[in-house]
Amino acid sequence: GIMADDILPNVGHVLLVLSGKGGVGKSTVATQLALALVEAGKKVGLLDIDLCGPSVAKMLDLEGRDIHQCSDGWLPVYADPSQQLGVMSIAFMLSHRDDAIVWRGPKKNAMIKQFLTDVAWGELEYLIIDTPPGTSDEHITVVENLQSCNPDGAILVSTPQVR
Amino acid sequence: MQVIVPSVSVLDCPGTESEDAGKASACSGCPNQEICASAKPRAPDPDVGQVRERMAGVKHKILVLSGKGGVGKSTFSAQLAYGIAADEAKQVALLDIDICGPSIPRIMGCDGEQVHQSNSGWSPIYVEDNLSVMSVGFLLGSPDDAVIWRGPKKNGLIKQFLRDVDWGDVDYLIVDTPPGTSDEHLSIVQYLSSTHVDGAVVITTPQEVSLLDVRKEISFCRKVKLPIIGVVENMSGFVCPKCKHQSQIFPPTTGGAEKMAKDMGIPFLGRLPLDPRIGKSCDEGKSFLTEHEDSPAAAAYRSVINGMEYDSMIHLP
Repeated sequence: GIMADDILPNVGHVLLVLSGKGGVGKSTVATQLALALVEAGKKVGLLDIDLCGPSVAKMLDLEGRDIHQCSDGWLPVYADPSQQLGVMSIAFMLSHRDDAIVWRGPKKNAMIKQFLTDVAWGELEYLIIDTPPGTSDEHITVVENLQSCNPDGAILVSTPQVR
Repeated sequence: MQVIVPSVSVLDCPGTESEDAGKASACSGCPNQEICASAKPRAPDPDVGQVRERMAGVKHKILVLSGKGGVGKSTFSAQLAYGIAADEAKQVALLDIDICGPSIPRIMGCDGEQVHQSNSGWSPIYVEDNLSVMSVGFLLGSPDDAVIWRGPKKNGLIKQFLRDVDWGDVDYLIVDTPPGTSDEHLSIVQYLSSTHVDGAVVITTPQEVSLLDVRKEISFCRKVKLPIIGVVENMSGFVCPKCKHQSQIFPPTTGGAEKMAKDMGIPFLGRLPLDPRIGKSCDEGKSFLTEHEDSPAAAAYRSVINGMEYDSMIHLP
């Protein structure tokens, strides 16, 4: 099983960006929030657990980058030379951008756990987690696995109309 | 010396209930592999035959897909259903398999309805004599109830929708789907595999962030051999009701859906503009095509729908 120590040992604040509804701007808000925190001098991680439609890599112009491995695990892809903003996304693991991740729940859950345990984030003041729309496998898995590191909470994104 | 983490296998999880569970090449590296591989072999699924029987009276099946959320799948599904059902001779059924975020009951003006069971199965909700609807929304006690289910439970409900709902004889079954390429999408294709599915209409908005996800959806369709009827570019252009000036709210920085369709060799069905009255009609549970039939947006909808070619075509006047 996964030990509590394995999950994000050096992260100050964990924030999830959620919405039941798709297309309301979760990735946009998560990305802009990360950039704003970096501008305020913080060391930030941005984790995209939307495996089917990962938007964060595109929004930070990081498409085509690879994930490098070191002795501590997977290195996040840094969006800036001073390594203030580390990013992790399945987008970095696709051979072609058109490749669809057509996975059922169990395999998605395994990947998300890996993102939480195998990435060598280093010391972070903030980890922002962008999620896919819905209330399903990805959301259940990330919340279950984050319990031991006391996440600050969730930012809920919505648009004005009823649906 | 840094090693690059290898690309993920884009092979499918065969599903925990599949005969190949734990044994397929996609299973290597999955933490569940041992559990799946040691499970007892399953007998053939008897439900597949029952689904085929239920679907025997359904002439055409159209799935509405998009990799991306919030682009207008449910809106389009509903207008397609309303549009076809305007011909009283046609029997239309609208199935909402978005288990986590079911929008269809609200859009079709039947929020708050509950499903009744009869000897012949679950009765869909009839919004017109010739237009019936089914959604998880009708199974919830309150509209705020969240359906927080993992994949296998969602798959089970989708199978029930196909096996247990008494749709009767239907000319068109339209299936509205959630965003993504996961359990729901695999399940609907799998459960309908013993029947004929005419194809999928893929919805996108013009910007690259949307196209990125939609290209993946098109890859999914090709992977599961689901014919693609075409791509629709929604929220394409906004005409100000006051000054009539046209703007692009979601600029097609990489050529929009038309270029993507051309690059991927699939039909481009057309553009639908962003008209605030569409969203309003959906919130109010009314047919936009009926409420604003003389609007440019309604004309665009009719043009897109009439341009859909599968083994037949629709003719909206």
